[in-house]
Amino acid sequence: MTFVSFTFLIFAAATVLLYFLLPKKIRWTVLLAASLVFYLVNSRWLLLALVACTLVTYVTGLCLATVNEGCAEQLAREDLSREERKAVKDGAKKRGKALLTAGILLDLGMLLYLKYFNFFADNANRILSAAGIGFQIPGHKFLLPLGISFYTLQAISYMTDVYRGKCEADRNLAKFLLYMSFFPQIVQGPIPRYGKLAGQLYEGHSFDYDRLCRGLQLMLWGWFKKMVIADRADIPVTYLFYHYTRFEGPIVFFGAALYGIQVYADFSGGMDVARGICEILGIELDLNFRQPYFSTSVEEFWRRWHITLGAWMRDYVFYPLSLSKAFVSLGRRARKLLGTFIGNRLPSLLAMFIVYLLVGVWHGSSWKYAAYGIWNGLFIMSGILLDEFYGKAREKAGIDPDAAGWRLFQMVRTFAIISVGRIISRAQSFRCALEMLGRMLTHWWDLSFLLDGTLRKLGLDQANWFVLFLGTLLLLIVDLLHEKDVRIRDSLSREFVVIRWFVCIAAVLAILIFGIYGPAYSAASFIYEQF
Amino acid sequence: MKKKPKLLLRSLAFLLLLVIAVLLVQRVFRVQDSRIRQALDGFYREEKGALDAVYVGASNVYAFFEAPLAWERYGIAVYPYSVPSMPQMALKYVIAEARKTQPDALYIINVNIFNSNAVDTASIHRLADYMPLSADKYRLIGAMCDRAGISGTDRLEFYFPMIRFHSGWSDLSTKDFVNPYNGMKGAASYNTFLSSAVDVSSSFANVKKAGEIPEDIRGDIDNLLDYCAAENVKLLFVTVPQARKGNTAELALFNGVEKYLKQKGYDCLDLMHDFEATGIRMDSDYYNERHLNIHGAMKYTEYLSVYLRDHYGMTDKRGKAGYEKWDEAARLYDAVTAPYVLPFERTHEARDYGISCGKADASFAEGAVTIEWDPADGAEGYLVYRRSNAEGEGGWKLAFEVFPSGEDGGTAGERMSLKDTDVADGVTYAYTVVPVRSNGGETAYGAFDYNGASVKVVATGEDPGSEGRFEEDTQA
Repeated sequence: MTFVSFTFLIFAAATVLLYFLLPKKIRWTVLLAASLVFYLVNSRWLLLALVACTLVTYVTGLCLATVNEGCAEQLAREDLSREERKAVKDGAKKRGKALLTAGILLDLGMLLYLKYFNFFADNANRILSAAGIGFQIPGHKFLLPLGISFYTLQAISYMTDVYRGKCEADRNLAKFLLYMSFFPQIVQGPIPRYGKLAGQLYEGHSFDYDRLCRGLQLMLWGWFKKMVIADRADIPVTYLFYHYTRFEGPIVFFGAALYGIQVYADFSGGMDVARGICEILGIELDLNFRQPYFSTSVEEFWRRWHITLGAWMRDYVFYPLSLSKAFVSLGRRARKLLGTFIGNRLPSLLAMFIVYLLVGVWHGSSWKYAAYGIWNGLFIMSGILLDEFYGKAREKAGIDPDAAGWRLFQMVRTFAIISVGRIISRAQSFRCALEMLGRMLTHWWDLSFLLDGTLRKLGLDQANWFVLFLGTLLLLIVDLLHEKDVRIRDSLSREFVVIRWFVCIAAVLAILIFGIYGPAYSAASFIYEQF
Repeated sequence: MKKKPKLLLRSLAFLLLLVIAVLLVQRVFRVQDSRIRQALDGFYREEKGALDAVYVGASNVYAFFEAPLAWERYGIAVYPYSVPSMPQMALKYVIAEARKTQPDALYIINVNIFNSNAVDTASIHRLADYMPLSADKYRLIGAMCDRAGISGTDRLEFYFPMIRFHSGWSDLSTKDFVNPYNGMKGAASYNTFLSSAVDVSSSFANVKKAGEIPEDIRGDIDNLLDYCAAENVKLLFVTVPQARKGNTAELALFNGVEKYLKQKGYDCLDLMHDFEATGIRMDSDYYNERHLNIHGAMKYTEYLSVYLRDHYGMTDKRGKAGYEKWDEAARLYDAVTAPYVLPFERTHEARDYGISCGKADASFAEGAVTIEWDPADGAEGYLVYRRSNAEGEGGWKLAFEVFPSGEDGGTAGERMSLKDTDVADGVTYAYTVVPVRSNGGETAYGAFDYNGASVKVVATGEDPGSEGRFEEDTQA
């Protein structure tokens, strides 16, 4: 039951209907039941992994709360000396840290085992074989539970937030299970924060007609992006990446750029469907995209692309790492050895490198994903290191950094860097990616593929290329309007009812006619569902 | 609170508009077959209880029986509810559907449909896509999907064929948007049917043996008979003449089915073993082994119409109020078939296939078309028919009557010829020669070339020979 199936349509409609039919107090139970049904239908017994993660996180949260409460109780006593207070605080912190570590290790352990164990085993076995050791580590054959990469991060953020005292521990296991399994966001995010989402889930929201309309409009836009643009682009992209040995020159880059459009339409389309349902229910999910292809640097791109993952990495990896004792001391030592310029930046750069390496491998258990993370990390690090140099060079060349032409150049450059990185992540393997990059650089001037009929051999006829082009153009225009802070749905709601209805009916028909679905096509799965 | 009813009404209005829009679009995205569209769209326009009979089945219904001709000749209203490759198991559901508007009609079924219990996606679409939404449609889809092993949401495509066919949006043409019912009561008018003639006599096998009926086929037959008995449906089974590539097992199966039906007391008309009674010729009246062409279909229609009139008391309804559309159908049918059949075929005049003069030659020179042909043994004379692609010409018309012993002259045994000077520049003419002889006081028409010899008249006087093609004005 994917977001683009008829079953999901019925399921979502039934959930919404039931939600608003039941009394407000128990509306959250509808969401819980729907989430469990959704998960069961999609993953069957793998629900156990989600339940296990929920239990671990829930219990850890409760234990952390007990420690925090015990500490607070003791600190409330007036008879304690300053030293005793410090000892209480230190003791609570130590116990809390141990509990948090245990909780994280258990949740992360499940993810590492299910998602990465075979990857580690394969590589270890290669080393063992190369060393002439006959022993081989056996791999497991478990399927990857749906959304594990997302809900594990969600669990870690919850435990950390309870530990940090940013949120209260949840004492209702059923409600907490809803927080962990909420169906619109379990598949591909956004990665929520307990403090922002849980309350909205547990609270019973009233029905609102305008919200229903707006939610449906957002869902329609999401389906359009997924079914008309992303799945149509998937046809030539799959062909190009699968038969990459047949192509050289800019067509390889064209394939990567097309994949960039595909993955954006796919991922953001899924997000829009999820956010649309939530809007109908009165729940606000975090924004995961903010017109990423208008970014003028790779660093900005990652602040606009998969925002909740970036924010998670910032709050739970980057800051804890760069502010840790080890990194601070590393910075101190580096300043002495390498000077202040490097020394001041080294802890951040190292933490940044680790973050992007993690972002890469979060996408999948393969070297290509690690390389993908490093590719992005290196560009961001070089940006930080060379920022001053670039600034001076720009000044010397008399370039106005705010000029539209310069900004456009920066956007195109960023898009090109990101697209080349996409070759690494989309290629069948890291080796294939390297070969594709090599092929891209040969005959790089030859643009004849645009006119000599090559495009028609990639699985799309002229009419379908035209639809893909128009769809992408529409996506660009909508993003441009969003960038200029024009709220399209707000504008639409101010239009005469006939125009509103016409737009909505036209959108439905466009999806039904031009969408890639049904037995004549094999619609692609959501890309981020696989991560 | 006051806003709620208004919002509800508004939502319902929007939903209604949306459903209408989707249904309208869906009409374009369904299995595209003008034969089905014409047969089924037309059926649902018939007045309730107006039909004498409904002829239910697959392509061996629409390629055999021409409803407008039956009306034109005998004033009987028999409608073909037929789609290509209709599976035998669908008969029960189709009859139930048809009986909603035609409860008292005779239901005619070809025995030849009972040859396989297979159902596939395409055959479900062919039936379901043109059937209005109803409980019968639901039952039909359910039963056919059960048989085809299609379950769950995979069945949705039969209610919303757009799910499968939307991918063909780039192949749509104006025809798909504007292709209204042609008013011909489901009569076949596709090009192959109208203009092809294939000799299938070598594939024909006269099998007498009655074969065993496999359990699955018998099950479908019993299912149908049980339903018809319970609902008191009048049935007539016909075994139509088909060559079937000499598939003797299949032919024996038909014999077996016919025997089984007769044992059960059902009316069976066996035209497989007595096809000569219809006048159908294996060498010229088929467009392939299983389907008659227009010439064969006219003979079949004539025979069956007379049979229905005589055996089922079907009265002549021509001129009766409420049947004006049938008169119109006959007129349309005549106009469409005129370029393909000679006038005496339509009126089913006496035939004598023992005389034939083969294909004529036509050439243009010195302002006249010369038509030449070999004389036929036993022919007393020749009727030369002409058709042209000139505007308003209509179809085959008698142009010359040639009797060698008469004023036109000519010697028996020598190649015969005549000149047609009444020709216009730029027009393509076709000529066919029909040998005739007197048979018991009436003229008997011999065998002739259905397509005739074509020639294009060119003003320069340059003879393009017989390369000029008669531009056929056919309807798909």
